Amino acid sequence: MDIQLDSITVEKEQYTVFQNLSVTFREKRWTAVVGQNGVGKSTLLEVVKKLYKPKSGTVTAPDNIGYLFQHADAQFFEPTVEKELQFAPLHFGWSKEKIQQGIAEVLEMVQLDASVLVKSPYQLSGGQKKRLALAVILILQPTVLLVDEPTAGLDPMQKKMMLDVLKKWQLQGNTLICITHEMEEVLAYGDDVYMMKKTGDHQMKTVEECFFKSPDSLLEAGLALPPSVACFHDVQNRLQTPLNPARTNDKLLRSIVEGMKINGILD
Amino acid sequence: MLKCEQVTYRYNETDGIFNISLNIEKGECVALIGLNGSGKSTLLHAMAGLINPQEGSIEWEGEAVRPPKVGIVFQHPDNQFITTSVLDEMVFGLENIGIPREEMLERALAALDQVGMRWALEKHPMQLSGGEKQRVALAAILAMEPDVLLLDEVTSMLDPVAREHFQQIILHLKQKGWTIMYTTHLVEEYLMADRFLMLDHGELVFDGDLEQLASSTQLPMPFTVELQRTFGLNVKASTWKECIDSLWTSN
Ligand SMILES: Nc1ncnc2c1ncn2[C@@H]1O[C@H](COP(=O)(O)OP(=O)(O)OP(=O)(O)O)[C@@H](O)[C@H]1O
Ligand SMILES: Nc1ncnc2c1ncn2[C@@H]1O[C@H](COP(=O)(O)OP(=O)(O)OP(=O)(O)O)[C@@H](O)[C@H]1O
Ligand SMILES: [Mg+2]
Ligand SMILES: [Mg+2]
Repeated sequence: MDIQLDSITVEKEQYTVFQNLSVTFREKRWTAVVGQNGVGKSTLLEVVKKLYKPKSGTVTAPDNIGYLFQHADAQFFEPTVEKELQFAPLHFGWSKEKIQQGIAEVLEMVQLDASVLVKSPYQLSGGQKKRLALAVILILQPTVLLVDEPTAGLDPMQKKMMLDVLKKWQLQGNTLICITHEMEEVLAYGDDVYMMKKTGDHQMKTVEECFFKSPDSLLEAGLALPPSVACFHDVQNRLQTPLNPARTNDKLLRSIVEGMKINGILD
Repeated sequence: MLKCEQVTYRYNETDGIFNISLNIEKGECVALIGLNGSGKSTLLHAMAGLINPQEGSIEWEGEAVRPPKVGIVFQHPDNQFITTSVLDEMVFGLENIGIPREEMLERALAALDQVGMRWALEKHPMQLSGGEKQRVALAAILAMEPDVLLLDEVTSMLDPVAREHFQQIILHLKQKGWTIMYTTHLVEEYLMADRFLMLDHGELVFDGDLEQLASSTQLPMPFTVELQRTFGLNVKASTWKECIDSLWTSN
């Protein structure tokens, strides 16, 4: 099912974070939530997860929602990875066999080797910790996942691994809402983009619209296009002919080169 | 000059930084790069005098490193905050280094303006959003005007426009002659640096400029460098726009 927010107003200690916000997140899509610092992205996810009760408005969402906090990888409390993974299932009264199978599946999903099970969570590297935090959530088989800046602080390789894991999970028919400041990630992995603005005039667009059809919309939200896309539009304007849009820097570069060749700027 | 001589700081047998020797000249702007866990934060903490290496020495202008000559902005802003309001957070450090009262407020406000956080003076630092915390943490150290500025992934939670502002701030400080070392996983931020140091498993494995980094490693590079490579231009820290302009005028 879609996730629907209707006329939501949130106040935190007398500070109005947003007013009368209505939005629909479509099911089975990867929706990137973007916007300037302090615009209310994290608060919005807290409301969807029902961690924070809005002052007014209604939220319609499935019950089984997973939420990967920004610093979830700094909040492990069990002595071993295995215990960390067992904790929630035990709480829900799962059988031993079911837990074991769940752990095997989820480790495979997040690309962690079974050899980490006996380690302390804090012995894992930064990227592994992030994926363990994800595994702890995925073992409960949510159909909706909310993630808050899941790649902040990861090196490029670890970033890609995390994003690939999330993508694979989403493509199995699940719904992902992902807060991020990395526009290149939105372009490469997202389906929809929810742009939150300080003015309250938030907008939902597809990635295609947002980066290629109306690239000014990101600027209007006080954000910026990635350099590859900015360059693509610049060259397109100079040539006065449409170039082939693409989702990665490599491919965008190829479109740019092709366009310049056809128009005699390069030989 | 910031001088590290055979510096080793080990947490255990495998983790830490090992036998690091390097000199950073006054006024240099250096990017410290490397994978997660390669030892970047450990080296910065040692350079700030927050941890004492078991072996070797680190000196700034011939003296052991210490605050406030060397200022560090932490990777996790939560670890930096100690007071209950943004204003106090700003003033605390300035008070400690003996800045006169009148000047304190002036400096604090100017630094908050630089990062767009003056509006939050009375807020509790823990009530701020992730990016807001990171902005205040940066402002608090900028206000202290250290000789050496160490920045540990200080843009990881900033929005794209705030990241652009940050780059402007760094370029401005470079012009003023500050000595700066920063870590980042965001390749677009490579363009601010004159020099790159790369750590791998706690060891220094690369020391050179952007051109050398691009030619001698397989690392992802800023888009403008990819563009330069594709068009057979010399690799340098010019913007993609300058590259495209040059292609257009030469044809
Ligand atoms: N407990 C609180 N009391 C008062 N104000 C708060 C509280 N928590 C958050 N805020 C304010 O609400 C606004 C929205 O915060 P939120 O964390 O949702 O922003 P965000 O869009 O996630 O920002 P970022 O990109 O920096 O993570 C911020 O301006 C923040 O200072
Ligand atoms: N307090 C500590 N006790 C034990 N080991 C530690 C401690 N702090 C860091 N380490 C380990 O030392 C190594 C270097 O860590 P450091 O934080 O310096 O890396 P980094 O390059 O800053 O990584 P990142 O890019 O993730 O911030 C890592 O293997 C880390 O797990
Ligand atoms: Mg947030
Ligand atoms: Mg670090």
